Amino acid sequence: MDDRGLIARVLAGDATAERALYDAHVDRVFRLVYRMAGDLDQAQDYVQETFIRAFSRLADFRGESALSTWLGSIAISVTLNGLRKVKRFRQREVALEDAAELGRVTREAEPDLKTRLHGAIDALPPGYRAVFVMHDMEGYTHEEIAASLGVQPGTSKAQLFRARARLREALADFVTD
Amino acid sequence: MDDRIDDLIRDEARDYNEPPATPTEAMWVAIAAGRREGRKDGSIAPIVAEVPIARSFRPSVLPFFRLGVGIAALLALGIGIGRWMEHGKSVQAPAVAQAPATRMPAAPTDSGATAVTPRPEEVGRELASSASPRTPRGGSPAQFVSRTERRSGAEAAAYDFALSQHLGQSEAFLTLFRSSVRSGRVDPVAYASARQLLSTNRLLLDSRAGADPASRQLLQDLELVLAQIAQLNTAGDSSDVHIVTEDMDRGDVLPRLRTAVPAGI
Repeated sequence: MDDRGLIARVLAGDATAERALYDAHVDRVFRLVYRMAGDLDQAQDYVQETFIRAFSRLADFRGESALSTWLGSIAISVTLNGLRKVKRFRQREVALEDAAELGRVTREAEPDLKTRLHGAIDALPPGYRAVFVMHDMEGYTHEEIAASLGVQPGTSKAQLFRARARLREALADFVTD
Repeated sequence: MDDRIDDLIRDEARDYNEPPATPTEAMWVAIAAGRREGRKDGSIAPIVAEVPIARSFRPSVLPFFRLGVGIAALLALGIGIGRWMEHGKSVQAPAVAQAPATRMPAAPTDSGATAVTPRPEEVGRELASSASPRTPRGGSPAQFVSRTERRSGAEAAAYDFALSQHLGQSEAFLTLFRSSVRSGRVDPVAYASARQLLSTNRLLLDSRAGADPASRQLLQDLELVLAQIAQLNTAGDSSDVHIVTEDMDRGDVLPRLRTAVPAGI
């Protein structure tokens, strides 16, 4: 059954249709959220919240985009909000720590290329990282990314370009070596 | 050159946060529970705020103290308004019954009816004076009701905001705490954070924010979890820590917090 038929059945209160809809989309949503969160517990939490919100707002879905794109937009919104909250909380915890601890910086061995790249991806601004992960890792088109993030496809392309530029910059010395 | 680096980036980035197998069943159980909870109290929050793309996070010097002071100030404001309202009610109550017996000269209106315009300093004196019933100095019942509604709305908004902030902070804290327990690395700072949140939680429970039965129940369950975490210490038995997380899961504390906190908080 296609998404439209499933949605109609979910709205009519069919619990098996809810499960079928979840089964049809959960893998894609989970992959995207996990790539962004990088932590199993957080990813599970964000996926659960995504589907809870999606089911509660399904009546508002007008079918202007694919259901997978609509779910992707909720997933990205929930994930970025969640990561922002966690980041804020981590900053608070750092403020509680002993300043002496913070000052104890050790010079570690130069990380390998993969570690450096992953660190550079982590350090991208959330919007850039979302576009990079969606396009280069999960294979979303710029149109899907634009619909999910509520921006124009041109903006998505520009953000991907800038994200790659930052990553190139971070890896430049590796390549020249 | 750029193409070469781009190829390298694509190859090496493939295993960035590589997802494990989807825990389909475990998530479905939680979603079903969250849906039941949401239906029960109708509290599933709408998506009210999207995170702006490429938003920059401005680091602040003392975010913890800023937030703490903000919440404390809001609570103080709410409690102050609440006390002021209680005082006001006892003064205003006879005003409705004895409105025709106003002592102050009334200003004539175009329609010939008398409308009394209360001066701010008079209202201040009314509210600052004793709560014993007496003849009011001015203000029609309708004016009092309108002002009361406005004050009441502002007060409720202040409490709602403080409550949302607290629940959002608690959700983030518990998410991190649970993750750190599972990875076997509980930061000692977590216990201090739990104590801070516990203090705010108790203040909210004793305030008007705790008057709503659904919020009260959530705050009480949250208090239990926070108190348990606060009592743990760095040398604590790891089984104690797991008992706390099991209690959290059993009471669906995190899913309930998420449904209670509007997106964007």
